[in-house]
Formats: sequence, C-alpha cells, structure tokens
Amino acid sequence: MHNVVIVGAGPAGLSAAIAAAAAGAPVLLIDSNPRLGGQYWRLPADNFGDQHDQHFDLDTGLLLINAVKDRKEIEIYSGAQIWSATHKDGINTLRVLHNGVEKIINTGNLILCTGAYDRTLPFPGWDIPGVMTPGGVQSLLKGHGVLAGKKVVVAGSGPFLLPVAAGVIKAGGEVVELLEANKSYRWLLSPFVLLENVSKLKEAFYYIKTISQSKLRARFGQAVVAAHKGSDGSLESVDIATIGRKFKVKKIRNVKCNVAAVGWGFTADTSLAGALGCKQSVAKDGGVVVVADQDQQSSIPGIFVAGEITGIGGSELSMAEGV
Amino acid sequence: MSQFNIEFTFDGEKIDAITGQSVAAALLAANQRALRKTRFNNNDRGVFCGIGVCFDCLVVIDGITNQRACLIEAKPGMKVQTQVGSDA
Repeated sequence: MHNVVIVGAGPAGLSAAIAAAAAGAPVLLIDSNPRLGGQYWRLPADNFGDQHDQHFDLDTGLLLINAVKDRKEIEIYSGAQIWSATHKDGINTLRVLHNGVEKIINTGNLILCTGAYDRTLPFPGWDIPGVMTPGGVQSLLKGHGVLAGKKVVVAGSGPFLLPVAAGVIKAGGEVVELLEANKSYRWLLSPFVLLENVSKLKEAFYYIKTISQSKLRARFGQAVVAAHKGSDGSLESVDIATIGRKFKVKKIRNVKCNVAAVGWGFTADTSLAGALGCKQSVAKDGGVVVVADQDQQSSIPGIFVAGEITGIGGSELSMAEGV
Repeated sequence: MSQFNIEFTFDGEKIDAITGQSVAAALLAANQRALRKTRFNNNDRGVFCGIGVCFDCLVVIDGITNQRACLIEAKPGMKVQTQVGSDA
C-alpha cells in the first residue's frame, strides 16, 4: 500500500510530489516518459547536452526535476504504462507495466496530473504520413533532437503554434506558412492572459521575437483544409483556405511542404480519471475536464486532480495546483 | 548535438540513432515516414501525436506487435518492422 501515488511527472505532478514528500509522505511517482518533466519540460537524454536554448523557462523545470530526484521519500517509475485503474471502497488500484514487469499498486491517495494533448480535427488527408500535431513536431525536437521535416506548415489556432514555429526555425527548418485561423492573435489580448498570466504574455513575445527574426510572417484567418500525398505516399502539399465567419471557405491555394503541424489548442487527458469514474464537465473552451473542488479533490474522495486535466491553463497554474 | 552511436534495422534496412532517441524519431530522421499499414485499405500511417496518445505509430519490435515507436527508445540491434494491420 502506497501512501501517495502521483500519475504524471510534468509541472503539476512534480510540484505535487515535492509537496507531499515535504509533508512526510512516501510518494510513488508514475510517468509514461523515460525522463521527468512532462511535455512542457520534455528533455532528451543527458548525452544531448544543455537544453536551455530549447526552452523558455528550463531553470524552473530543472529545479523541480532535481528536487524530485533528490528526495528519498519519492520513488519514481519512469517509462511506465498504466493499463488498468479501478476504485473500490476508498482504495485505488493501478496495474502498471514498468520495465517489462506488471506491478499492482494500491493507494488511498491518488493524484492525477495526466496533462493534456493536442486537440485535432480531421480534414481530407489528415492521416497521410507527414501530417502531425504541433505537439508531435515539438516533442521530436525537444526530446530527440529531430526535425520532423525541412519544409513545415504550422497551422490551426492558439498560442502553442508560436513555440512550435520558433523551434523549427531554430533547428534550421523552414516554416513555409504559419497560419492562425483567428483574425488576429486574439488570445494575446484576452483579459485572462493579461490579468492572470502575465508571464505567458512574456513567453509569447519570446517566441514572436525568434519568428520575426526569420522572414516568416504569420497569416491570420487562414487554415489547412486538405493534405495531399506524393508518389512516395507521404505528404507533398496542403490546401490552405482563407476563411470567413463560421469557417466559410473563401479562397484556396496549394502549398508544398513535407510536414503539416495542425492543432487547435489542447484538450485534457481525462482517460485515467474517466476510467476511475471521476466526474467530468465541459470547460469554457469546449473541452472536457475533470471536476475539482478547492482542495483539488475530484468527485471521488481520495482522488485528486491537478494541472491541465482540470482545464488548460499552462505550467504556472499547473505547478500551483500541484502544490 | 550527439553523434550516431546506435544501429538498428527497419524492415531489414540499417537505421542510425543516438542514445535516448525514440524509434520513431530515428526513423523520421532517416526519412522513413510510413511506419504501419492500416487494417482496411492498407493505408500508410506515420508519427502523428509523437507523445504516446494516438497509437498511430505502431510497429513490430523484435517480434512484439503494437509497440508505440514514439515511446520506445532505440537500442542497438533492435529489429523493427512495419506493422501490417494488427499483425497478430
């Protein structure tokens, strides 16, 4: 029986692990990645050297990662898969595959920090090799030092398109198009960003600076509406539409590329919480999230949720919720 | 940046990789974009989400099917194969 079990080693999970350990609880931290940090602080193996130029705020991440590694109260299962999660009589049971061995974990205190992933929408040709999520392109760069392709179209909506485009440029790739479906970077001006998340604004301008140093200019009110494959079966070009109100297609042009990173923001990973029966609701952005009270407790006593799983808000909010 | 120090094969062809890279990353770097064929219509699929969520990059590794190429680290001598359908 483990005192506290945390699933997910991103900003929320790392913060939760440190807080629980500081309170004296033995902690088991389970994560699917081979290394701590989650998607936000995704790191390659140590042999790739210093990674500060790949990140906006790596120091905070390294501080948390090293603090978790240093605490003797925290046991870590990295590269693990949870294939079953059940809840009965106040006890949560996780069946975990770790290093090829199945372990059965029982705990009365489960903290789910499972994060989020790219929100995708299908379009003709979305399944052609070369059409990817922006998060996929970034994970290959940040985690493996691999540029997904030389000519990249980055499209969809939301602030996350900026770091992805900036990353491709830094890695020596060409962002042939950067397309925001909205009429402007509307989210930059929203009261939420300005009042509650000032550092997010700073982060956005950090990426915009990298992008504007290249010849790339973002286009607004445009979106990828179809992808086409070449004779080798992988992506050769995309159709880009100028769109009006309610996504009405006005004009279409064809652009050559070998990667199209298309995403529409993030959606919470509620799969584990859902399997356990935690109550979910629809958030303001239309995504499904797990309901939490003021103590970050879900509808099931003993199951807590923190970070993007409770609504998309970024790494700082995730760290605060984790604590 | 690190140098190639690992070799594995994909459908018999030699692929170079760096310690810590995923099978999917090494294959993309080698311009291998199609990793599996779908059960119906035999369509090519490649890396889509890159973080273990979508299960589109399934390959056969050392005879074991349904391995997510984006989550498995490349190891010397691995035999990676295109997964055709469920390849059961």
